[in-house]
Amino acid sequence: MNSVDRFYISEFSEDILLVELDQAFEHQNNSSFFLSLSAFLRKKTDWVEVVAAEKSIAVKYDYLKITDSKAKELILNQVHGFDFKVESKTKTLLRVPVYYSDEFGLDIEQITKTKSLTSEELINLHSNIEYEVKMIGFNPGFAYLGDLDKKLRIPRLSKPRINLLPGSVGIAENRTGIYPFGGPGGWNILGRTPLKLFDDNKENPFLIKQDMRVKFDPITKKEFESFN
Amino acid sequence: MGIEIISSGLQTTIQDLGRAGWRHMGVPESGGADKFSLKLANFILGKPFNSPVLECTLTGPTLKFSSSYSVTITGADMNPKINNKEVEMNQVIEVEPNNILSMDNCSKGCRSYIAFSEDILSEDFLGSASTYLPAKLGGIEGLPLKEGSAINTKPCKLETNSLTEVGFKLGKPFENEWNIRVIKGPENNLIKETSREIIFSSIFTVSNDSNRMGNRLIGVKVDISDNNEMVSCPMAPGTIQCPENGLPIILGCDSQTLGGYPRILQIAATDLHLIGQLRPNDSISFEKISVDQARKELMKQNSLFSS
Repeated sequence: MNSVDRFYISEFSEDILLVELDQAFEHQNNSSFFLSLSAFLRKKTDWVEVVAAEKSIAVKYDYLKITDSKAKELILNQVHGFDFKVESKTKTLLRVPVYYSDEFGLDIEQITKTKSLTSEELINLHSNIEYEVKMIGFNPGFAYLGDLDKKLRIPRLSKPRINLLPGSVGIAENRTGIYPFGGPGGWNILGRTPLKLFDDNKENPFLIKQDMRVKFDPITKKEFESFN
Repeated sequence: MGIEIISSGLQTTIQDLGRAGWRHMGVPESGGADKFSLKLANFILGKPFNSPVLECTLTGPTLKFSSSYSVTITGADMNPKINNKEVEMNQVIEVEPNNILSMDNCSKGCRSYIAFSEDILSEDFLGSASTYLPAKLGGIEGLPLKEGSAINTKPCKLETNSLTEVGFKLGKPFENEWNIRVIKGPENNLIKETSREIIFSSIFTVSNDSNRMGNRLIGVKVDISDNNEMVSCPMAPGTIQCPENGLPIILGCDSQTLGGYPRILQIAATDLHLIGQLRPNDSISFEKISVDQARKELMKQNSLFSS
């Protein structure tokens, strides 16, 4: 980072600061810049919470321990030490096995019909791309991955389903994602991963993190069932 | 040891102070919607502030105790009775085996908190027992208590706490008209000139469409400048969003971590617990304070419990 002047720090609440970028700054429209920066800030132990959105980061501090002006100063110092190029190189690739089938892929039939694709083509279009984590939110641990191939883009379901299975893999617009806990969801479901996306025994129990790339690997029913 | 749920009330869930520190993974804080009343219930019983309690909404449950307990009820007054005899709010109540605690509707405030002298056994999710209904996590199977089920408890240590100062603060009972202090939100500048003063001089009504995720308000339309650039932004409990229809929404403790509407105001943290007591048709007006003042008030409130 050349200059800290490119960052704006403002007060969101009594104990939350917002970090934003100068409109003209080259990374301003790159959501993975904010995700990387948030992952970088989270590694510093000064903050209660660091939440990234598309064009800003909310940083919560312990107002009983540091003053607002001290917190601002500390953030500016830290963002000054952030190098986007270096941080993006260290992104790890997570491979996610997916059993694409009508059994779990509740919307495969509908999508292949409206998009005039074979299920094989659909699976290839979805599994050939290394996706970036664009955002995490909506539901606990739900990562918005993108961008999806243009040929696969469809809107969300007009009526969300009430009870999806954990590990359901869905698509909507230019994003794809996995439901870690199942539950309600309005994305079009292509299949299911046997991977556990949440493991309470781990220090960070969520499998998909901000600084990751994700690729889906098609597996067979047998592989799905014997996966442990 | 256990407590039988004879009737569940409208929506009774297990809550503690919530799971802070996971918003970056899309996990809201949850916890009691009125954390002040929740802390108070535990404080009166001599339990750690974060102990799980029952949060009752508008209509309370009926509970049958299998053994002796001390019980404290805080928050909205739902006319609690033990074996049909009225008992006091904000006091330690001693119950015997087979006693029945029954609760009714409240007319002021929205939520009551019941703390027990034994610890409620529930499912831990990310370090908290709080029930998060939208994803069915925490509590007991992530759901409200069900009629005919039971809560299991285990003995725990209790401290003796003095209530004098907190009791004084409690002197003000809930009303159906609220004056809530707010600070400026990040998109405050998007409020059109014509609406700027009106927000603070008018009275809004809490809509029926309100829950732990948020309170929708009805009233004068707040004019917001078009902002096509608005993308998903971090939100927080107490953020007042204003969609294009001009009707503000106050985000609650279960609200989503990111959202796309302008954040026009933020409830001062010192008043945040009151949001959990807003009931449909209540009136609410906003009073603007500076962020420095809000921080001072928050520290003052925190010191109430540090004895």
